This record gives sequence, C-alpha cells and structure tokens, in this order.
Amino acid sequence: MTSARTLFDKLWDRAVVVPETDAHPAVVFVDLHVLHEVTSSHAFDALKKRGWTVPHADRTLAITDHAVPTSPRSADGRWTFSSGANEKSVELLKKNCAEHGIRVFDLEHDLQGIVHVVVPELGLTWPGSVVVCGDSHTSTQGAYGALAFGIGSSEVAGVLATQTLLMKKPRSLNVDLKGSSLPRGVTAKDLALEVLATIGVGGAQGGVIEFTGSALKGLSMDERMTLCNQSVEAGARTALIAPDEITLADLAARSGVPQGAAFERLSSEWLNLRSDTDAHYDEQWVVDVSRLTPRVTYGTLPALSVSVGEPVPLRPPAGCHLNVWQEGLEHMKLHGGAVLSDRPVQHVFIGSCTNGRLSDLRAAAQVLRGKTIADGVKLWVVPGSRSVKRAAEREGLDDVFKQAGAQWREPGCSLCVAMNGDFIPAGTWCVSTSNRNFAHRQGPGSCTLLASPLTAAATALRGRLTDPREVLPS
Amino acid sequence: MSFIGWTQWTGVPVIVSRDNIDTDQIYPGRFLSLTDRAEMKEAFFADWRLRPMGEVNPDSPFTPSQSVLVAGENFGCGSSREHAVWVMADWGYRAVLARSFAPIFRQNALSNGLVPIVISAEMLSFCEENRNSILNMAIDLQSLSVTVFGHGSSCLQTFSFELDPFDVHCLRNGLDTLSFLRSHADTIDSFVSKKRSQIHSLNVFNSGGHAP
Repeated sequence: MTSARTLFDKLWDRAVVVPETDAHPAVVFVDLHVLHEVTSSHAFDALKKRGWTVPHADRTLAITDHAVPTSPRSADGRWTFSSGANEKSVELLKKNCAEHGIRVFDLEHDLQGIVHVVVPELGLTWPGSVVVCGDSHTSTQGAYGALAFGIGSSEVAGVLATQTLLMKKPRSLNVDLKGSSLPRGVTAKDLALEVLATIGVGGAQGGVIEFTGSALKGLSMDERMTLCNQSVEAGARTALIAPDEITLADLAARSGVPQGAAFERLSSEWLNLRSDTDAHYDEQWVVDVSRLTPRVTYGTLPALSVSVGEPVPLRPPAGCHLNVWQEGLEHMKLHGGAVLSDRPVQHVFIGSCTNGRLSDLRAAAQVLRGKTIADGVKLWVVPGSRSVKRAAEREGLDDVFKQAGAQWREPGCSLCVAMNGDFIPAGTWCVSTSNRNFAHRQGPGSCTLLASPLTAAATALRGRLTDPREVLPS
Repeated sequence: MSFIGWTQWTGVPVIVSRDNIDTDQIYPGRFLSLTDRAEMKEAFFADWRLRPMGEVNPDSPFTPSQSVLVAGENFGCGSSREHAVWVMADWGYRAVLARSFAPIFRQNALSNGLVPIVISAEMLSFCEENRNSILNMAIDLQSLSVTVFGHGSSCLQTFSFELDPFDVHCLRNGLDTLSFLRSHADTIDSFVSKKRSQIHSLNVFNSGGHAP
C-alpha cells in the first residue's frame, strides 16, 4: 500500500534520477532550462574551464530581459543600452549560446520578453515538468503544475553540463484559497500580498507551496502566475497549482504543445497530477478570497501590507520583529498611524514578471481609458513581452496609455530589477506592480509601494495612493 | 564556482542585528551587469556603505578586516543572484552565522566556500550583547563548532552547529557539485531515454520570429 502523496511529492518522484541518501542530496532532472544575460556567464565559464559541452541544448533556451533597454529603438533601428557593461552582458550571452547551439531570443527576435512571461506564453511550461532558471521568480511557472525552481549560477552550470540539479527534497506546504471569486477592484496581486501577509516573510522558508481550494476555479492562468510568482517572497522554494480545465484550455492554444490526439493524451495525463485527498502537508494556511480588498505595502518587505485606505498599523504584525518593521518605516519615512494617501506619488510602474501580462495591461487601461494622469506623476507601462506588446497594440491599449500621459515602453524587467538604466530617484515614491519593495531596490534611496495594476493606474490618475474602486467605471 | 577548500577559519565578525537581509542589500541590482569579479567588489553592501549621492556613510558597520557576518532571520532572501555570495567571498568572508537562510542563497554560499551556519536565538543575543568584547571567531568544519574569542585570546563562548556531511565534504575539499553530477552522466542518459524521451521540444521555435 502506498501512502497518500501531495502533488509536489508526485512531481518530485517523477523527476528524481538519483535518490537522496545520507551521503548526498537527490539528483533531479530538468526538462527545460531557461537562461538570461545576468546569471549565466559565470556558468558558461565554469564549463569552459573543464572543457565540457551542453548535452541538452535542445532543452535550453536563452532570453534577454534584465539588462535590455526599454526605451524604443532609434530611427535607424538601433537599441541604446544604458552602459557598455549591459550591452556586453547581452553579447556574451549570445556568444556563449552560439558556441553551444542554444537558441536565443534577443532584442532582434519578436518572441523576446521577460523569461517568466515568454516561456508560458509559448506553451513551454508543461504540467509535470521541471523548469529552472537563474532567477528567483521562476516560481511563476508553477501555475501550470510544473516544478519551477529559481537557481544560482553554480547550479546553472550544473544544469548546462548535466541537465540535472542537486537538491534535498523541500517540505510540502499548502495555502487553501476559500471562496469563489475576487471582489470587484481586487486582483491576484492583492491576493498574493494577502497570502504573504498571512504566511509572513520567511514563513514558507525552503518549502514548496501548493495552492488549492474553491477559489482556483475563478483564477485565470495569468492570475495564478501572479500568485505563484510572489510566493517566493514568503521564502518558498517555489509554488504550484494542480493542472485543471483552465490550465488545459490555456495550453491548447499555445505553440509549444502538440495538437490533436497527442494533446488529448497529454491532457488526461496532466489532469491526473493532483494531490491525493488525504495527502499530508507540513504546514497549511487558509485565505478567504471573497473578503479581500485592494492592498498596498508600506514597508520594505512584501509581507508588510495593508488595505488601500487603511493607515500604517501601530505595531508590527505577529512574527515580524519590531526592528525589521521600524527599519522599513524609517526607509519609507513613515510612522505607525500614517495615512499613505497623504503623500504624493511621483512614479507609477506597471510591468514585470508579476504583472506585465496582457490581462494586467487591460486592467490598467480600464482605469485609465479617456483620462489623464495627475501632474507631477510619471507613469511607465512596460509590457512583459513582445507578444504582450503586439496584442495590447492590436487592442489599442497603447493609445489609451499614451493619451493618459503614460510612457509605453519596450519589454524587459525594467524598474523591477532596475539594472538597465531605468531607476527611481532617491527619496521619491513609486507605486509599482513589481514583486519586491526592498530598500533601494528600484535605485539608491528609492521607496517602493507594491500594488496591483488597478491600484497603480488609479494612483497615477490622482497622484496619491488611490483605491481603484473609487475610479473604476461601474 | 571554484573555491579553495578549508577546514578552519578564524576571522573578525561584523554583527548586523537585522532580519531579512536581502541580496539587493548585499549586491544592488544596478551592479548586476558587471561580469568581472574584481569590478564587482564595489557593489558589496553599496547602499549601506555609501549614501545615495555616493558619499561614505559613517554609520556603515563594515570594515575591510571582517570575514564573518552575523545576522538574524532569513539571511539572503530575494533575488537568486550568486553575485551576492561572490562579492562576500571576494571581500574575504568565509562564514555567515544567521538564525536562518533563504534557500537559494544557502546553496549559492555552499557552492563558493562560504559556510552558512544556523545559530540559535541565544547565540545571536550573545553576539549582539557582547559585540564590543568579541575580537574574532574560529570556525571549525571538522568539529562543526564556532569558538568566540575576546581580547587577550580569551574564549568567550563555544557552540556547535549542524551541516550535512555532503556539504562539509565539499567545503573542506573545495568541490562544487559539478563533478558529482557528471559522475552520474550514464544514469541521467538512461533516465532521459526511458522517462523523458517525448517531452516537449524547442524545435517548433526553430524558424524564430513567429508570433504565437
């Protein structure tokens, strides 16, 4: 008799090549390895030093996203990088990939974009597979029921050389999402912030979170990706959601999956990927989605958030040390009881692997249509990929943004990682749909408030933190 | 990446009484385009050592002689950037003593000869309370112990820690995991052909440039 297993247990067992023993961790197979320009060059160097090749270049894909400019090409078709080092890092990736026969989606390729936006939109994130990338937000792809791990550069070298990862099995965690649908004006980003507030900043440390519950039926793949994306901010190794009809409907239309009978065969296999009813999780939390409100962060950790309109709490939440809480408030120049909407917001950023997909842009456009952003506010809209950009332009969303006074930019990580020349000046506030509000993350001295695309757009209209329900067309 | 194995290390600690020190603090994003390890050194806790306009921050806890960092919970959270570990190693660090570690940082540290040591709340309090009398710390990977020394080589405290035998073996011998993984190449090959043969292929994207 076999004991009940979680979805994670099943995916793990399928992927283990050499089981874990007292003497060493498990060797885990990687179905798809995604590279970008920032975390791969030292890995290629490590291979070169040993004279090794990449045996599975056909399971490896490189995309440029972190260092690339988001300002448009010049009239003669050239891209202007913010620094020679950024341009060099892209050239180095292309050179390394050419040497090993690895496909690259660079700025000249019309499938380029942020890795965690591009890979799922191509249909390459297969349920039950293992996807890794030298980027912590690889967890985004767990939304498809894949085991998606962010890894370091040394591990990238290991995957390049052997298509495997050395890993001890993480613990199994569960967040049960009760309720049926998100209330009006509330998005998956607000749900993600609520989940982080519930678990706490390190509460899921080293674990794999499986999201379950009735509310999943009301969440699209884009929304599930936003949720899984932010889960690493609770310390999780990754997050995942069992494939269902919503997953299959999404995948059916994508180029990376086979059509016809082959897809039917895969579909029935994928639908079997679910936790057994009496499976054991090491830790569980419950979040009721029907009670959610738009949320915003006020400190320098994604887990520290309040409902938009609520003052900064007078005390840190349970599990957060007083000094951590105080340091965050100090950086933001806030205090317990402060009203966030009292302060002007100078920058609004809509984009990133968390909220740079078409549905996010549609949500923002819904708020901005026919309106103009407040004086003194800079609003940047950065689509997550070229495909997202094309689709948005087909719908005329670019015109909505431009007429509102926003900058409609080129795809990339942009103000989320702030390494490509895009940055927020010291002392100014940025309401951002990205994933991290760490001190200085968006530039030295920058202050970040994480919020949904709806809240970000509403804030751009008023120049102060605004509840989107006040401005959404009824 | 490659590093020189070690068994004993004695170094001056910097005691940073903070939780959740993220990799953006250790290695700010704007330095990520650097590929040369020597150039990367300026990124080390740049926003702590320097003020936004570039002047030296007199409140910075860091000095060049330090090589052991003591911190609170969830050290190394955030981005997976191994640059955070490289820059610590290149500043001479060999150990981080923290209440807990973010998983990717922990693995990155082990890959570079920086030992992640989990300490108890009592040990962290001891370090914080005695920060002015602690001169250095001796870390021993054979006995898995840390000895805290004060002035005049007086031993203030000794405590033990846990580390998997595999990690200890790699740290002491300067081994990353590449060779271990490569030693299983045949098993991996047979796994691919038996269990992962018909999984997805990138060949549909050979032509490039078509919109899905």
